[in-house]
Amino acid sequence: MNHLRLIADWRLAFGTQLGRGTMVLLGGVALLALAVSALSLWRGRRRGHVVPLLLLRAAAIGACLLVCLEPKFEFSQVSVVPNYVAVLLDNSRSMSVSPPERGPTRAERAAKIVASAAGTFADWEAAGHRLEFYTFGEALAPTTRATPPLPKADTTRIGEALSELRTRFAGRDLGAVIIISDGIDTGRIGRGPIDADTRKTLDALGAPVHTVFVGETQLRDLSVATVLADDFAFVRTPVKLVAMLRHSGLGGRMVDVSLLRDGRVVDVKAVLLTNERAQETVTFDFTADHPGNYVFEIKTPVLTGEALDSNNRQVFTLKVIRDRVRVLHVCGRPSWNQRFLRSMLRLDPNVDLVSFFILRSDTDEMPYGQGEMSLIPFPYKEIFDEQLNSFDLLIFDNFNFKPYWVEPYLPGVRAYIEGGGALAMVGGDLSFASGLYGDSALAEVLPVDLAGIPTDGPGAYTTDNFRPRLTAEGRSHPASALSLDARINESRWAALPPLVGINRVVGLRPGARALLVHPSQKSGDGKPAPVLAVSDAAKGRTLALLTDSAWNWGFEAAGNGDDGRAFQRFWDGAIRWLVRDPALTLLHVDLDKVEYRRSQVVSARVRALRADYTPAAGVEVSLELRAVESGESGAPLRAQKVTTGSDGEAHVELAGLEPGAYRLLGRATMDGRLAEERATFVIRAEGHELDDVIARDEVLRELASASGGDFRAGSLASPSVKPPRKVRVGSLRTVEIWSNPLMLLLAVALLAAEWTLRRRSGHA
Amino acid sequence: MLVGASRPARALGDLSKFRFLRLRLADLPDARSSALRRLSWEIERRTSLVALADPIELPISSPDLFRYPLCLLSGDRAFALPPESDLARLRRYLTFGGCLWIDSAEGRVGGGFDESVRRLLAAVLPGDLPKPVPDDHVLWRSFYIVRDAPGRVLLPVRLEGIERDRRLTVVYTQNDLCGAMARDGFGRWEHNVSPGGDEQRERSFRFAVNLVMYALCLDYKAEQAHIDFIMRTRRAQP
Repeated sequence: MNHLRLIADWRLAFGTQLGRGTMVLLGGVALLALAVSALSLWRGRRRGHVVPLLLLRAAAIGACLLVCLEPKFEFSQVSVVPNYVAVLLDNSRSMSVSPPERGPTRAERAAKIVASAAGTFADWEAAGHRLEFYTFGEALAPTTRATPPLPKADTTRIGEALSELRTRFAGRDLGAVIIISDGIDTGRIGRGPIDADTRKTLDALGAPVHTVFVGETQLRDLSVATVLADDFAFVRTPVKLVAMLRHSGLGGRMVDVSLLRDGRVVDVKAVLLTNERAQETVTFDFTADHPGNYVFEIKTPVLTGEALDSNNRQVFTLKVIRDRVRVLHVCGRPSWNQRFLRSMLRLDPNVDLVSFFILRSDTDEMPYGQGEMSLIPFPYKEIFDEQLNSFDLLIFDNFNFKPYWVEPYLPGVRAYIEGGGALAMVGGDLSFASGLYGDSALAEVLPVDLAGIPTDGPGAYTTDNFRPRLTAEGRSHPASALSLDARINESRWAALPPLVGINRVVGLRPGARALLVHPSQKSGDGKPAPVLAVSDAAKGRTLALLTDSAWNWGFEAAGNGDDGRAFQRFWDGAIRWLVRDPALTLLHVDLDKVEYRRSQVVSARVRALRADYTPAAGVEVSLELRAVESGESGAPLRAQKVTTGSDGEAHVELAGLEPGAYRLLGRATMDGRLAEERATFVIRAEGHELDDVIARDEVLRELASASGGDFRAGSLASPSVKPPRKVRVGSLRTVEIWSNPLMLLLAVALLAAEWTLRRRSGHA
Repeated sequence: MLVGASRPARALGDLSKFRFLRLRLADLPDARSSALRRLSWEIERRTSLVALADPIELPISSPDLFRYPLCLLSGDRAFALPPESDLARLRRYLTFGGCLWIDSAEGRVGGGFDESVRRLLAAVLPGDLPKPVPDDHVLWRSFYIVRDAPGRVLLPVRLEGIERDRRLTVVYTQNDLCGAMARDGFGRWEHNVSPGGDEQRERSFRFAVNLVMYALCLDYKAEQAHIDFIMRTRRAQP
């Protein structure tokens, strides 16, 4: 609210209806007449009384002008409208920079400038100006001169702050604007020159903008300014992660730039900083073996004397998706089961298939030379040592490892599985106990227990015909879903041709689930012998199909009038389950984005689906928020429960999170099964504010110049302030000078006196 | 794939073992009845495959037809077109993954058997005429590296086949391949092989092994790892 100060005031005005131009013309004519008169007097033969004559003529001409122009005095009350001096203090994070010798920060120096200008401020207030203090970074915010600004804003938007100031002062007068800043603008001005919008704003402010630069002449800093990486990548497709390093005052130093994934260093590159270049580029090549949301960090060491240590790292996410499922199919002997599986996989556009089949052994006769055969040595080392991690799924199809020098690599295969890989073991006389897997490194990750099962003969496998029975677990499991409809699924399984023989097992391993069981055969634990079983193995999954006659579900079923797709559907579902196809997940935790600014609210959508993929209402979902670097052990940072609505969805918002990488873990039990889903996101702290903390004065100079203000470094001094505006608010009294009869008499008297004096002096 | 060890051949029932099926048509007797047994023996001897020695002979209408994805149609004379129901069943057999090996025992080009075969194929797979198998087809290197498909004779004809879904569903050998493999109960070859004699007979066996391996492994040998190795070994040869 404006507080007006009233004062008495008067002014001279003209009552004539003549326009301004006419009045100027009259004035000009009067001056011309006076000049001509003076000239004639000066050139006349007589010299007496020249000056008095000229004065009388001038007075007479003036009197005539008064009559023409109708001058008058106006007496009134006016108010002095106080104008404002807005002091804008930069509170962005770059103001926390200290000089190399560890003196006060920029923000502290800015506060000192304000404190030392107390006298100037007092003078301004005494002169009718009013002071308002603001901080600016991401937005303009009122403050007081006694409150030193905390450098915490993630951006510096000088142009936007001036626009906001203009809006705030709509209808109020600005006498001056003072900006105290390090000049690092991350808004629309950037490194300058100032943009058209800002120029318009400066004009609209109608006041000089004085800028005070708070910077250093010398600074040491190294920052990971920018990371250039795509938002997503494909599994096994190399991507480049490019980091832009900015540095100052650190020429000649060699630094190690590290790439970390989920807190673990995956690559380090040495970079030489030179004085000739303020920016260096470091490129990391990365190839993801598995899909998922990866959290990366690129960081440099904090060097001695650095202005800021929080800009030496950048955290970012990379969503890795699978373009095709890469399958390694290893088969101990050609068979129809292998053939139909291969036939299906090689035609699947979503599968990238690599196969190795044992076509002969060295005990098989070789009538002629090896060169006449197309066979290649089994590349066991290349497969199991070098390339294994490049596959999403490993299928051991009636494959016995023992004769092929694979045994030393089985611990690596187990590590591959537990690290997120998948194994499907298909039965046969070379598989499971007959393949000596009971004593192998894979025994602990298989879904079935093979301990003590004979390796050969009736104790190792059966040869009977049977129709497997779907278990309660199998009715809703993706690997045994021939149809989404439970009843149709069950009837389809019942109608398929019988299988022949199964590999015997002791039973299921802890945590494993049987999806299909033998209708009469029992396993060692007395329970129905499993035909199809699945299990989780740490981050990976395994599947055991304990027969080699499953191809009957396709080819033989087709001969019986079936659509012949059961074999394909079984493997399609099994593979998707094994490789954790996101489409099969019954619980989804979706975020609106993967990277947020600190001030933004993280919005999560929780979706629960039934086994038939219809929305699941009323499902209670436990949510835990954890920092990525702390893993999934210990107490979560936050925990809450939500219940899905009629649309199967629940919504959660997370606010007030500090910068860092987080993982939101959802858990729910649906149809008796635990479902888990994770979503990873990053809260970005500084945006680009700390990418380059070297102070720059160019923008501040330009702002001052464009607005008629002053630029100063380190002090405010006494910049100019527009005087307050006066507004007439009181009563008005007018005294008309020309309308007084004495004025007319005065004019006549002057003319008469001039005539008399001229005649007496002998002038013409 | 070549490896350094083996074990006794076993299986989870006969369905797990490879077994030849010969299609039985009413007016088409088996002219080379011992050939498939001999081929089974050779396959067991030369490869890791587990095969039942005795082939099975079934009519197209048999409910067990779809237990044997590779079947042989062989003969030395013309035969009548099977009824429509059999044609439909044979079409279904080939569509869902079966493979038909046709072997002419006529020893000549364009005989009655050949005419009947082409009529049969036109009825079963209309629009899919037999075409020469290209020289770079994986069939020529599915186990052995072979360059022709000889048999008891060596006629100036190329191996023909019908490819569907990127696989040969029909392979038509016209050199009496079974004739080169037939052996009597006393262990003697039933037919002389000309003009190449024993060397041509061995080539016939090799092609037959390739044919079975192709039926089982499809284009496995066309995968890049195999191609690279074969090219390397060929370059290494003087």
